[in-house]
Order: sequence, then structure tokens, then C-alpha cells
Amino acid sequence: MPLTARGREILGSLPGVAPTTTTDGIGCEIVRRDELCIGCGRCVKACPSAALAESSRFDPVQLYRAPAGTTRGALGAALRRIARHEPNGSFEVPPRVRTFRTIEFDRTRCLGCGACTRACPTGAVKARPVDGREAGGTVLSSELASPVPA
Amino acid sequence: MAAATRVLVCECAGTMAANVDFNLLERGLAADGGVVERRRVWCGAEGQARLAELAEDESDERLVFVGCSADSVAQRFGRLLAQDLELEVADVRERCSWVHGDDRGTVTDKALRIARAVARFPVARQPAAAGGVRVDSVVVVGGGVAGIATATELARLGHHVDLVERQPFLGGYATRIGTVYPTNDCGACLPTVEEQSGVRKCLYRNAAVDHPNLSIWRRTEVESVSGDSGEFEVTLRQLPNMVTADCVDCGLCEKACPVSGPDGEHQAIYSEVFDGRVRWAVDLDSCTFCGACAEACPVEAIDFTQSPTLARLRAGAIVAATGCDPAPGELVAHLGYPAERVLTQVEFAPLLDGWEERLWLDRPPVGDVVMIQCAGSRDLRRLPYCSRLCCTIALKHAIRLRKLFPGTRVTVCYLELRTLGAEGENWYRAARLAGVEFLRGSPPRVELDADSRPVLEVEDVAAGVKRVLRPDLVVLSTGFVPATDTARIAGVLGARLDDAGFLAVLDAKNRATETSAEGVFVCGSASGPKSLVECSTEASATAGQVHRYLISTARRRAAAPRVDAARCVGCDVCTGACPFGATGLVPRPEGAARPAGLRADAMLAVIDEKVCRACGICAAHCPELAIAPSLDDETLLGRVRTLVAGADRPVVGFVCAECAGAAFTLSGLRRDRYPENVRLVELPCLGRVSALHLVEAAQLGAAGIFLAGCAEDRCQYRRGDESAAEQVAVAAELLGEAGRPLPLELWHLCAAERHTVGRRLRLFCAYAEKQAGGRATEAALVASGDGGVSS
Repeated sequence: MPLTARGREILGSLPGVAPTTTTDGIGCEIVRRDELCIGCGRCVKACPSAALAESSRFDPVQLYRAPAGTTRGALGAALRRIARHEPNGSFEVPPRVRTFRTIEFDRTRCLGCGACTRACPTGAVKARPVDGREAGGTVLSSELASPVPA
Repeated sequence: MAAATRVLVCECAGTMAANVDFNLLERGLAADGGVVERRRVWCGAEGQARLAELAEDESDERLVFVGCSADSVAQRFGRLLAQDLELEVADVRERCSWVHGDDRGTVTDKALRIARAVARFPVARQPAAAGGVRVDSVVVVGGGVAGIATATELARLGHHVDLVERQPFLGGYATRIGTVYPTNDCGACLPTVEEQSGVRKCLYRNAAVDHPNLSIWRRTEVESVSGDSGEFEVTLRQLPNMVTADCVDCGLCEKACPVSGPDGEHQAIYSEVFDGRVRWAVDLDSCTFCGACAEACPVEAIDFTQSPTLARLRAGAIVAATGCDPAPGELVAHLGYPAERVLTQVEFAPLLDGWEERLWLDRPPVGDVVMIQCAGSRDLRRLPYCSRLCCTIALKHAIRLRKLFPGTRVTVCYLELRTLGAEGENWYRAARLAGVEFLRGSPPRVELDADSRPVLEVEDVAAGVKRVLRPDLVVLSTGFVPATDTARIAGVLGARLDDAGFLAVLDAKNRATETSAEGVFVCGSASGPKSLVECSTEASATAGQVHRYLISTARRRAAAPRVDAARCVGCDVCTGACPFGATGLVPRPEGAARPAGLRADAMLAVIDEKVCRACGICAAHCPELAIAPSLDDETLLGRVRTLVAGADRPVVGFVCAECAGAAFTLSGLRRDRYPENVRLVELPCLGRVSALHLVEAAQLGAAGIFLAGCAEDRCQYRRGDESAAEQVAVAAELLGEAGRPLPLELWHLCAAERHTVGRRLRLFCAYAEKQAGGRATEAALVASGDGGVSS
């Protein structure tokens, strides 16, 4: 959601989120790569506008897409060997299990401040400036050149 | 198998010969390339001597013992194990030969797999954390009877003790409430020291309180605690007393003081309980610092220049003896409290003392008294628990009242009287003999009539009638709640609270004097309301525990997991998972390995070796597989593979080495048979298991998986079984989604279950067999194009 000029002004006056340049963080479009997500929930804690929430439902499809060498990836590999069919639905995860949390992103509430990208330990969340300019530091444009998997 | 592995095979004097072919076993192990030493019996004199030789051998050879269970090994070779002999045990006796039938081929195959699993996949040998020094000093928080008794006992055992009390006077509630049950005398005495006469002496004349090892800090609170167990640094904040040690106890100051204290009972300079050392104190909230007392003082013992001070102490251990408080009035508002004629037992006690003083002057002050038991207690909306003391306190007061004024009618409304033990029952009998009436029924509310006399309607359950009582006085037996500051102190000490807000003990059965924080002990009512008898017994117990803790040189031998910096991304999931608070994040050191593409400011997880108990829960939760306990994923999955791969419909059991392990060993010693397809994998704690291990086991062909941990809610690593239950739930869902559901159960076992282990396994195997059979038929039908139509 692009910010209005007034929105930029308000956000700029908030402590802690003041941008060094106008394209660095604030006003960016947030792009999530859910296959890299490990469910740690740091982005949820960092988000100032409650655009992110932890869901207790988990879709096993995420395991099949996760990179090798992680718990999710290893589980996906093991499941692929025994699965008789594609998983066809999500299930409820016990409350304290972190690794199988799904992070839900409500785009309409996102301010584009980029706090989640700074919190994410795996690089599953990136910010890209809406006007397409190269931003200082926070955007890796090469990663975003390819279409983001759903 | 690494060349540096030596496998010691024990035939156990032929007791396994019926179903294990040791020639085959030896050949199989030798084929793996290691050195195999086989003996008819290893625990005999010759074997022991050979083991001693191997233990002294300087080479870095790893020793694997194939024979009986680790428990039996610990008994047989205890002396050698104490002298640095390191053996890894592959149990082919209690968990294989002795519990299986005569199928020699299958049992030998299983024994070989068990031996191979251990020999091929070693548990990482990590140096145990070196034990730190323990400062020979204790801080006891709380100067009530429990705290004083613990402090004096410890001082007499030779440790330096700092006793910290918030009030200016020691003694707590026990010295302020008059007589106590069950002894019916005062509560302010301690056991005498050897040099004194008698068996007990009041606080003020007891020499134990003057022990040179004991420093008493009055009007002092614990502000903060830092450092690790054994080396705490405790910051105390002390308010000044204003009255110095020169005081001669004349009391002229109180007469001169023009200001009345907070509750109007005494002046701003006052004396409350004489604990023998400090007699007078200035109430700092109400004092106006007018100086009248200082002028009146004949010895210039009042010093208004004193100011609050901070002190830092080093301590090896801390004892929390913060006690409990009577329940607040809000909890009994429905019973008409507070009102002139509605009191609590705690307020009633001094009233009784007053009546006794004026006994010869007056007629009975009250004609009819009703006591209401469980006032506000055992009520889910108020205090859900039983405070255990209130029944006997009420009986004590009822008897005393009847004895003072035989004409006074005393009725006790109760639902259950909890007067435990022979002593308690004697009190109940004495109350009946003294003419106290007992009415079984609990009034829902107490109202006041126009003359502000209490009126209560109560159903007499025994007689089956409703009765309306209009007594002169209602006395409420209210319960007890944690002392006001308990939550703050628990936070400062890093100790957990229980559901009611008292300090939680480490283990109700076996470690009732310790809290969840290592080096922090608990004594008396801080962990739940206790009678004085229990408090003083517990004081000795706590003192003994602290003494042992301070002098012991042995340290826990838990090897903390390693964090692989090349995998850790600093997501902090492990911190939330660790039940002991041993994990945390630090800035990644310069030059440390890092995963590809990791952001520059990413943190790194670290595990505090001193706090870690090596349960492996963190490893089970790590999303990046970055935490390697000594039983790392490679070893664990390698062992599962060795035990399971290619076996006929194997049933995989993940068994914790603690209580469930004991149940399996004892079951094995009973030779309780179960099928050979059960394959057991031992873990330090069930918390080590993650959904990944369970799915991998299924992938390797398991027909059923069970997990066995300590008894329900009794996990020795706090949350291991909970963590495992959650992982089981996830794994069950994942396997269901993948179209491969299989029997997946979590059991809670302890040594008492040794009789049921065999039966459980037989039933579980039969069930798994049936499910697997059903699935196989279904698959065959689908494969033959029959479409699964039932015939």
C-alpha cells in the first residue's frame, strides 16, 4: 500500500522508524517468500501496525517448498518419500510449537515501514520501493526480479 | 565403525544362549571393522580387571559394552565408572534376549542391530561444564520463624548467613499471633544451642540468634540479584532504624512522641515484638522528624542523620522464607466483612487475649459466636485451594472461648473439617468435649440487620433443615495468600510461582526445599501455608540442603548442546523452548561461521553450560537444525535406521532414559515377553524428539511408533513430555495428510509400571499389525485395479 505524503510525514515523526532516506524502508512494498519462513514470529513482534499475525493452522505444502537443511525442508523430503498423495489441507498446530507456525500477512494494514524485514532472520521478507528505484541497503533487487512464489 | 571403537561383548554367563547366537553376533560386529572382545562374563573378577586395564589405557579408544542394561552396568561396574571409565551400553539382555522367545535368528538379528546402532553411531563426548566456585555464604530472605530457624541452623553449621527482614523486628506472624497449634503455647521459640538450658528458648533470649556467623539486616529488602548460582551478587536496600544500639529500652521516647503511627495503635516511635536485639523503631512513614523523642532520650540513642543504604553481598545460595499473609478482606466481602461484628480469626486472636486479661471484671463479652470455615477458600471464584491451617486455628479459638466463658455458645459452620493427623483429631475431640457445636453447612452470605447484628441463613446438611442464626459475633476462618512481595522476589531470584502465586518447589515429592532456580531454596509458608511445626521441620531440611549444596564439590555432568554457527540464523525459537532459560542470543562474533546470505546484524544463539540440563528440547524445536546435543540428529536417525531398516513391520519406541527407562529395565528383569519387532531408541529426555524423527521413523517402515516418558506432569526436564506430545500431534497430522497414518502414542511410565510394560507392548504391536495389515490389503486392492470394493 503506497503511503501518502501525509503518511510519510506522520511516520517520519515517529521515534525509531524515521527513515534516513525516503526510499529506505518507509513506503516500501513488502514481499514475503513464505517458503523461507521458519515461523519464528519475530516479524509479528516487530510489526507496528499489526499487519502480521501468527496463525495456528499449518499447511504441509510449505514443507515441500522449504529449503533443504532446515527442519521444514528435511520433513518435506521425508514426507515426499512416503506420501501417497499431495497434502490437501491445513491442520491445527499445538500452541507452543513454533516451527510450524504460519505467518499471515494483511496487506491492507501494512505501512511499508520495513520493520519486519529487519526482524526476519532468514530473509523471507523483503522490501521493495513502490516507484521501482534502487533503495539504499534494504532491497536486493536481483532476488525480486523473478516472480515471487505464491 | 570408527577404528577406535572397542566392542566388549558379554554372554552373561550363558543366560542369553537360548535365543542369541554369540558367534554370529561377534562375527557381525567384527565385520564392521572394530575390535571385538567377547567374554562369558565381564562382571567377574577377570573381566573387571580387564576393564580396569582398558580404563587406564591412554589411547582415545571408545568402549561399547554389549550385554545388560545401562542400569545393570552402573551397578556392576560402578567402582570403575566412578574412576573415569566411559562405557556406552548396548542393552541386548533386558531389552532383547530376556524379553523375547526362542526365534534364534530374529533375536540374534535384533541383538546385532542394537549393538551396531550404538557402535556405529557414537554419542558425542563433550566435556561437562566445569563447576564454578560456590561462595560460602547464604542470604536468607525473610525473618519469620522459618527464616530465623534456617539462618541459625546454617550459621551453626559453619556458613556465613545474612538474614534479611523487611520489618524492624524479627519473628513474623508467629510471634505476633499469641498461641499456636498444636502445642498451644507461643510461637516465638527456637531450639536452644548446646550451651543453654532447656530444649527451646524465646527468640529474645536464644543464643543461636547471636551466633557470630549470622548478620541480621532489618528493614531491608532484596533489590536485585545477579550472577550465577553459587556466585550470586545480592543487592540489599536498608532503611535506617533511627534508634541506635545505645538504647536502654526505657520507653521515654514513645511517651514524648506527639505523632500517632499508621494504624493508630502506637506512636511514630514504637516497639512491637521484642526479639532481644532491637526494641524501638521509628515508623518512617508517619514520623514528622520533630525531634521530641531525641530530646526525651536519656542516652542520645536516636540518630536522625541515618539514611537508607545499599549493600552488595556475595552469596553461594539464597533461601526464600517470605511466608504468607492472611487472605485480603475482599475475598470475604460476601460474608459481611468488614463490620464491627464480623471478624477474621486473625483479628479474633488478640481480642481473645484482651478478654482473658479482663476476665475477672466482666461478664461474657459475647453470648453467641458463629465461626464460618472455608470463608472465601476452596471456592473457584476466590481462593481455590485449602490453606490447611484455618480449621485447627478455629478449633483452638473455639476451645479457648468455651473455656474462658462456659456460658458462651460457639457454633462452627463447616463443610469438611480438615484436622489432619492424630494431633488434629485430638483438637476436634477436645472441641466437642468443650461443648463447641458443629453445624455442617456453609452459609452463602452474612447480612446485617437494623441493629447491625449479623444474620445468616444456613442449611444444616446433617439435619436436613434450614436454620437462621443471629449471633453476636461472626468469626471468619479465612485462608492464606502469598506474602505481598512474593511475586517481585520470585522475579528477582528467577524462581517460578505456582498457580496460587506461592513459590513453586522444584519437585513436590523429592525436592520440596528447592525452587526452579538453581541455588535458590525455599522454606516455610513461602511455598504454601504451613503450620509452625512444619515450618521448623522444613527449616532443618532446607538448612541441610543448603549446607550440602555449599560444601559439595561434585557438579552436574550435563554436556550442553553445541550451536552450529554455520546454520544458526538467530531466530530465537530455542529461547522460547528451553524450560531452564539456558539459551539466549548474542551478537555474532567476528569471524564466526554464518549461513549463506545471512543479514549482517544477525544474532547467534548461545547455550549457558551452567544452566543447561542437556534435555535436547531446544534441538527438537530448532527450525534450522543448528543445535547438536550429544545425541545429535545424525546419531539419533542413524540408530533408528540401523534398528529398523529392513525389519518386518517394526514398532519403534522412543524411550526416555529416566523413569520410562527404569520401567523398561525392570520389565526386562521380570522377563516379561513382547514381540521382537519392537525397536527401542533411548533418549536423554522425550523432549529430544521432534516431528522430523517421527516422520523419518515412519519413512523407514515403522508400523507403529510409541514414545515413553516419565509419569504424567513429572518430566524431569520440566517440559520434555509436553514438547514431545506437541511434536507427536504435528507428526500425526503430517502422516495423516501424507496418506500414511500409523498408530502413534505417547505413554507415561514409571517404575511402578514395570508390570504393564510387556502387556502394553504386546497390545500395541497387535494393534499396529492390524492397522498395517489393513493398509496392505487396501494397497493390494488398489494395485490390482479392484478399486477397493469390499468383497
